[in-house]
Amino acid sequence: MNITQKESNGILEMGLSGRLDAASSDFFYNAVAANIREGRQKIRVDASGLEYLSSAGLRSLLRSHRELSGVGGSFAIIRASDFVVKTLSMSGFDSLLALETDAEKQAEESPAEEGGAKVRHEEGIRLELYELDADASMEAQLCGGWKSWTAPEEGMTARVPLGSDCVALGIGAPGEDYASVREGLGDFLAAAGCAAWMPPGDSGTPDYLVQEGRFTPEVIALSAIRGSGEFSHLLRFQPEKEGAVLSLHALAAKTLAATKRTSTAFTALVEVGGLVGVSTIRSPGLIADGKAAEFPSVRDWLSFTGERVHEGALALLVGFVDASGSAANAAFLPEPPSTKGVRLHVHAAVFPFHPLANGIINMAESVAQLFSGAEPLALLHLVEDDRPTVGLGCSTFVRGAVWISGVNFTKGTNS
Amino acid sequence: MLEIRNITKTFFPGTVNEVRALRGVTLTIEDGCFAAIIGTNGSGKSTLLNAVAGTFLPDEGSVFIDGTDITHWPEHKRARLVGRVFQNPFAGTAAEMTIAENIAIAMKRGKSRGVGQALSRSVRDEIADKVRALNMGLENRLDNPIGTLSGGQRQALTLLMATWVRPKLLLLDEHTAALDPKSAAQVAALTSEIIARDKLTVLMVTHSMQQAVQMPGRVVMMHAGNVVEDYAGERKKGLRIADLMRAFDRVRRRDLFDAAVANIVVPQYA
Ligand SMILES: Nc1ncnc2c1ncn2[C@@H]1O[C@H](COP(=O)(O)OP(=O)(O)OP(=O)(O)O)[C@@H](O)[C@H]1O
Ligand SMILES: [Mg+2]
Repeated sequence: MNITQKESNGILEMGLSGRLDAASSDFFYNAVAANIREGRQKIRVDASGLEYLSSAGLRSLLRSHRELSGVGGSFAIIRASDFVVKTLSMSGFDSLLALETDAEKQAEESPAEEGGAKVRHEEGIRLELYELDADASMEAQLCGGWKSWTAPEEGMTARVPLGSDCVALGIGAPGEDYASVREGLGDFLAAAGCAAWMPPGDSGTPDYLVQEGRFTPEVIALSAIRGSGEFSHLLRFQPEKEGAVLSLHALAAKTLAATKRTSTAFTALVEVGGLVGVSTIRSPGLIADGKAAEFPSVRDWLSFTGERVHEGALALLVGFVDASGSAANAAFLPEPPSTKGVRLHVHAAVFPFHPLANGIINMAESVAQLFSGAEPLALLHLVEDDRPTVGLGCSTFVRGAVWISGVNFTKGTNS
Repeated sequence: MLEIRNITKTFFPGTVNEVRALRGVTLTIEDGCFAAIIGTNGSGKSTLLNAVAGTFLPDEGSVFIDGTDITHWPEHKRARLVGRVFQNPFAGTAAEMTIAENIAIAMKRGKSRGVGQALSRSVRDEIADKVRALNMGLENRLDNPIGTLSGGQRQALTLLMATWVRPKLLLLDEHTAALDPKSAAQVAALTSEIIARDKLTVLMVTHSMQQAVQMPGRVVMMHAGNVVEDYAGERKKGLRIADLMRAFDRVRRRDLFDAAVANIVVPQYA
């Protein structure tokens, strides 16, 4: 089996020659999946060179079709020879055969619409910036009165509802009251009514809650940032050169540039190049003295990824960026060592990869789809590691969608 | 019951080659408990077994079996209490002696050593019966030198011999690791069978996560000369391979988290 590819007018034609059977169906499907991942989501299979189509081959065609429908793309078989037409119609799958109407053809032949995006090319990356609502902005409450690494007290906590109207991150856990969560506090993030948090301890995998009916997820937090409002911009990016990635710091800078504000909130769905981060392995509720932050005891409280992890996975990011210089926000927004003046707090929930549709996509729908499809694999508080030579740097991303808004930080009340 | 109290062992102390193989290991294994020891290469698993078997004396700490302090007992004296199977199928048996002769020696463990008597009919029958139970057809080869057997067959026999006289404690050091997958599975099944039948107290070192999850009632993880995880009771019942992989990951990450990392990441964790 041999596959050739050519692309024109936003449509990718994959020419198959030889046998599509049990031996080659994975090869074919993986080629389709790679195309979807890289954003080529209108695919036609030229079947004129196909000599044989087995049921395993048929399954790989159906799977390709299903995957592309899932991201709003399209899939069809063209130039099918008689036996292919027969095989498909006998098994009831002749709908895969292209019966392109002239209108469709015309629509697809006109170059892909940019949909009003500002397109830029930077360092091997194609960036599309869509303006969703120029007037949109967010209010972000800084909740909880805990000072990192100190022994917490009940009065410092805040009850943070995580409904579909907000994006949030922090340290907390769902529960009735502080006593019930004290030993189980961990990093969390929330967007579009979906909340994931990392319970400390053995399990090593995040837990999650999704808003349903009258149930709204809620956490008791030692410290949290909760943003509500609408996003003003959507940034899409993908590599044009092999190996090009967007760093977390570059992404943060782009949110500031897009909104022309000094403080931003963002939510992103991104394919991971590599994540560098930490997560709580023992509840900060159990901190009794100032020793927790000291080495080596800090290793009982915090785990560091130690290498760049989760390459190729899909991450949901919730982040807040502050370049305003305001001291009031400092406790909630740490300053990475290499970005003087730009404070950053970003949490990432990691999921198995699945492709996103191109162009403008809706944040709430995309996040809901993510949580309904698979369980989160990990949750990290992203950090930069700037050790000389051995340092891992900051997290990087290959492609994705970033919803952005300017933000005003205000001090929230404690519970 | 086996009690290991705060054992340390350093090889080549005070030299550039110094290795702190055991850094204060404390572990109690209850009667009838089957515990697996897992851990990265060089974490001290074999050294711990050696310290229990008496291959060397520990630098500090003590070992008790059934309340008796055996820390200073020589290896051969402990052999009355302790059965042992190594990774190498060629260890533990004498290659040029026959199957029957090897077993006859094992039968005398703990008793005064009578040498070289011809085997009585009844003893031969007893041997044949137990060897037949292995289902390897070896009962017809009792007079063949043990060196002519395959690794799997030899390891099955070594296990049989190590448990012929019920040991107070059975030590298994990666005893299936050198076998092909099918023989390894066979020997593992035989191991579980004998341990369950005789309700043995066991320490089994293994690199097989599958064995660690399926066979024992308790799993102890070692790292850098310390016990870093101990899955017993309910916690062991729910244990899956993925949990162990994560535990290995945690241990590795902890190693990578040094003082320089702490300086950088702690201020960024707000
Ligand atoms: N007799 C010895 N002399 C010197 N060093 C030793 C001796 N035995 C073990 N060591 C060292 O002590 C450390 C622990 O070794 P040990 O054999 O106990 O590890 P292990 O956990 O059994 O590893 P593996 O999984 O590779 O069998 C290693 O660094 C090893 O090189
Ligand atoms: Mg060993």
